[in-house]
Amino acid sequence: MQPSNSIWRALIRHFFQRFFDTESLSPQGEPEANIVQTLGLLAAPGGFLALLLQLLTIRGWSLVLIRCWFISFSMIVMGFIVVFEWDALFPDRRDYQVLTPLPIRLSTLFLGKAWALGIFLAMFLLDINFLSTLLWAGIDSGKDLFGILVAHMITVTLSGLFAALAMAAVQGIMITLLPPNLFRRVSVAIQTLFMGALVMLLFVSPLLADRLRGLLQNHSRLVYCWPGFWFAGLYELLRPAVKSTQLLELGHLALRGLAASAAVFVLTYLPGYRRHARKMLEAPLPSPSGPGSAHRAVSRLIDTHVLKHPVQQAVFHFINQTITRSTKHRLFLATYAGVGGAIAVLSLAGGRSGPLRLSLTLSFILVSALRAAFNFPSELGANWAFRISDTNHGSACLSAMRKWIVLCAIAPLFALVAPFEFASYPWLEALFYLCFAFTLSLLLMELMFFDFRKVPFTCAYLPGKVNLVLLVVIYCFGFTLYSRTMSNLAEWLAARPWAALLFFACSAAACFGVGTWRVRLLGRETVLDFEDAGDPEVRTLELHA
Amino acid sequence: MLEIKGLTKYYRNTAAVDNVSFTVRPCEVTGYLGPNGSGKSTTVKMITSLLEPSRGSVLLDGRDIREDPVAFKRRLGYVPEEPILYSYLTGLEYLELMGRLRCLPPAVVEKKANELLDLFALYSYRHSPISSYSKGMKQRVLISAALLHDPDVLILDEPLSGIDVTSAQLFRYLLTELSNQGKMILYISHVLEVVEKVCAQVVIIYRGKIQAADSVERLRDLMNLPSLVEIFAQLVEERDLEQVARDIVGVMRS
Repeated sequence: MQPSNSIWRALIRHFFQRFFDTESLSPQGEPEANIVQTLGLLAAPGGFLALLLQLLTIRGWSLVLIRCWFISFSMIVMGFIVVFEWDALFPDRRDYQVLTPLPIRLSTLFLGKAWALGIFLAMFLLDINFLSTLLWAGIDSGKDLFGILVAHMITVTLSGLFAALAMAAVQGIMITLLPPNLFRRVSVAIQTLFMGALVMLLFVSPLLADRLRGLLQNHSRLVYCWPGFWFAGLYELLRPAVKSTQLLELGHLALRGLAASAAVFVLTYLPGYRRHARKMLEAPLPSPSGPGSAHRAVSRLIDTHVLKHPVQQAVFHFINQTITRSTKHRLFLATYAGVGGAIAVLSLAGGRSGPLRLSLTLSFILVSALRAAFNFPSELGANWAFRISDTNHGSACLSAMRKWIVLCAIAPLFALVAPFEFASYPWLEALFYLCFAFTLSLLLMELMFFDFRKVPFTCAYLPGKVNLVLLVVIYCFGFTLYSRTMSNLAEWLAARPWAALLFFACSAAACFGVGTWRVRLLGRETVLDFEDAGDPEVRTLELHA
Repeated sequence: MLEIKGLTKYYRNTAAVDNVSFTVRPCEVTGYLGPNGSGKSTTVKMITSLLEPSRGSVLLDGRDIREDPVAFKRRLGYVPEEPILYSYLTGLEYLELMGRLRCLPPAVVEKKANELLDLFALYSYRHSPISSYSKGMKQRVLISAALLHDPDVLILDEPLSGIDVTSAQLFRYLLTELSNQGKMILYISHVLEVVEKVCAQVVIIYRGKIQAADSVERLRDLMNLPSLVEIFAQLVEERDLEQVARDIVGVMRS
């Protein structure tokens, strides 16, 4: 029996809404408002850039460069969307539990999900490329208006589609080939990696586009590594701008790549779907192993020597477990890591002081990322466990949080950055720079967490209160000023040992001072926050004297 | 002794709990009964300090718990109505978290957590994430967490929800054993047969107000009814349930 139209519509609408019904996208449970906000946010950059470029007359390689920007944007955003919706590519446990008992075939569910996915991807493809396509005729100085628009539309759409299908195909391959337990672990790692890489590419792709001409002239094989170049070639096939034969060759690669990603996606999605349905409905087996001996030994070492109080141990391990297992927080930190990665690439190309700025910049991003991530609750309803326990150990909770930041975030970051520093400077200078940046990171942590009175992830958070634009401006300005002035200061101090000693003494005093001030301000019996105060229901104009 | 005195909670001028008073004595299980939405869980949340009462007070051994809420929480074990736990933690990790938050030494936490998981038949699942647990398993983790620090006061809000027959029977014996140990137990449940067997006294709440508070025997005698089920039905249910059942079938077949 064929499913009726009403069933189709209900299924497609249900699966489509589920894409927005995630804790990250709609914590307040208002998916419609979030759809509109997300669409507006993603449509703006392309439209704004296309509008700006109306003022210029662009031809030849400059036109190829601009095309490459738009192609890269379309690819990266579509890739980002698929990675963000990674777990929603297939129905989840709740879908199966609700829909399977209904008299609907699994194949109908599959087609409903596939249609919803198609509509979802088409909506975003249209959204991110519509304004730029509409305004493209003002950028390309050619005469054939229809041809210009069609070529642009085809290229940016196909490039976005390629990125989306390629990302989905990776998941399809994994779900088809890997056993369920391994799939879960690998999938989580791949999703995080992709998220970070895509954010990094968003910042680095304009630089890549700028290198295209040089790479083609040098017959570099690197042009084959970035699919954005392939689609710049496809654009050249449809509307020649520079008549480069090498670029035209890349265009054929774009078509082959698109066909391959579509084929792999189709071939893996259906069998993957069946496997996924079975896996979701089967009860999981008990896992007898638990943490390994190395993990246990490190935990015991930290518990014995670093975390004396049981409450400190509780909060320290809770932060660790949440950061490593909460998808929302992992993806959030991955986006920051992507920004950090992009800045690292730019810093390393920044001359002699590049590696020094790298450690300063990355530690700044890390501390601010953790400040933001700790604000987002994880399974807020479960915070009663903290509220019902003894709450006179607020200072132990905050101390555990600081220890976690130093031990599990700042110290590993400097361990990663150290080889670059030692490779770039004489060992004594490198050691000084590392100590300098590490000390500044501690100061930065003290300042950024000065009024933070929460157990991370346990307090309600109302994002609407934050002025995002103001925050971005403050961060960009503060961050640029910080990395530049501090790297200058480090170079100045490196030549004056007495001044360097004075700096460390002052920093220690500042840390102590901030700590004392905080304790005095918060009171000895630190009361922790579990509810965000939010905006008042009635706002006054506060005109009274 | 835990005394609830005139506890009241208003939500937008509507009293969800209105002037509720009763006593939970040591060595006794006090049943707290009422239909859905009658104000049981609101009362419990006020006792556990998760909600601020609009009026009234809670006294433990004659002292208002607001004078030293931390000292009260130290003596309190609580099983909430909904099994809301950090689902990405394993059962063992959750008990370790709770034990540490209760300031128990790590060695004691590890020993007690493993033993409780074993006794509640969860040992083989101790390293599995709570997200993979059934409702009954989550409930057993919550009961373990509430007992971990040997509390004097136990507030158990629907602890049998989702629990299998064997575990329910074990829980009945556990309640009796805990009351023998001198614990003050407030037991909220819809399973009236269990309440009838283990509770020394029952408090029945309906639409935010106490309808009856006495021992089951005295209530039976006073109301001249043979069982708690019938006492409960008489006090709180105004509808003819047989007629409602016929109406439901009528709607179904229409």
